Amino acid sequence: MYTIIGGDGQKYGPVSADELRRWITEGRANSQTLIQGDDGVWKPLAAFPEFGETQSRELPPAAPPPMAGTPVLTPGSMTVPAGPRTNSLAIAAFVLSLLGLVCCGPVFSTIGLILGIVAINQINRNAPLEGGKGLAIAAIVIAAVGYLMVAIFFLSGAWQDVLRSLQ
Amino acid sequence: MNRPRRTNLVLPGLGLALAICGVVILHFFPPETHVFYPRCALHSWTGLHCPGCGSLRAVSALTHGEVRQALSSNLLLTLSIPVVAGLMILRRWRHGDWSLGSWVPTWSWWVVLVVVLGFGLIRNLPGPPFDWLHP
Repeated sequence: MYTIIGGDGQKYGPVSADELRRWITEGRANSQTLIQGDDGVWKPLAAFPEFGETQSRELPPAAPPPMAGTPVLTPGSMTVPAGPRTNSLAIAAFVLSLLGLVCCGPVFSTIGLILGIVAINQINRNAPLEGGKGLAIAAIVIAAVGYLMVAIFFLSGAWQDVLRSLQ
Repeated sequence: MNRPRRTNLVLPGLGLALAICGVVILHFFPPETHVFYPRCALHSWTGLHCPGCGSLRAVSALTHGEVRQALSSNLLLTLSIPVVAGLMILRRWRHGDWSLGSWVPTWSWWVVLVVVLGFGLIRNLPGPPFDWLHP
C-alpha cells in the first residue's frame, strides 16, 4: 500500500499499487510527488522502480512540464513544491515568544507557547513536507524563559520597587 | 494563473488595529512623563536593559518625528521598522500579498534570535560605544 502527498499538502491513501498507477496516468502525481511505501520511508515517485513504466508512458518528454508554483485546480492533484516549507504557525510562535521575552510580558509568551505546541503537532503530521520544528521548539523554550523572568520579577520583590516608583 | 488566496484577515486586522491604538496612545502620552506603561521585568529586577527596553520611548519619539531620539532609545527596533516594511513592500510587489512568514528562509529567524540576544548583550557592556545603546 502507498500513501502520497498531493500538491495541496494533504495526504492521500493508503491505496493499492493499481490505484496509484491510475492516479499517475490521470496526472495527479508526477515524478517528484512524495510517496510512502510499505517500508514507511517517504521518497519521490521517481525512486519507485515499480512505477517506472507508468511514468515513462504517461509523462512523455514532449509534454510541458508542470511549472513550479502553478496552482493545481483538480482536487487532490499533485505537484510538490520544492523543499519543505516552513510551518507558518512555528514562525508566528517564534516571533510572539521573542516579543514576550523582550519585556512585553506573559501574554505574548502564552500565545507563543500554545502556537508552538500546535505547530509541532502540525509539523509531525505533515512530516516530509513541512519544516520548522526547530523554530517551534525554540518558541516553547523562549516562552519558558519569558515566564521565568516574570516569575523572578514577582518572587524577587522587584514589583514592589516598581509600585513604589509609581506613587 | 493565480488562485485567489483565502487568507484569514481577522487576526492581522486585529493586530494592526491594536498596533495603531498603541501608537496613538504613545503619541499623546509619552512614556517619559506617564507612569501607566508596563515595566520591564528584567530591568526592575537587575537594572540591566533588555533588548526591548526603550522601544515604547522609541515609537513615541518616532510619532513626533524625532528619529535621533528614537535611535538612541532603541536602535534595534528603530532600524528594524524600515527593514521589515521594505521586505513587506517587496513581497507585496512580487507576490501580491504581505505574508512575510514562509517567504523568508527559515535560517533568517535564527539570525533574528541571535541579533536580538546580541543586542541585549552589547547594550549592557560598560563604556562607549556600548552605553550609547542605553535607552
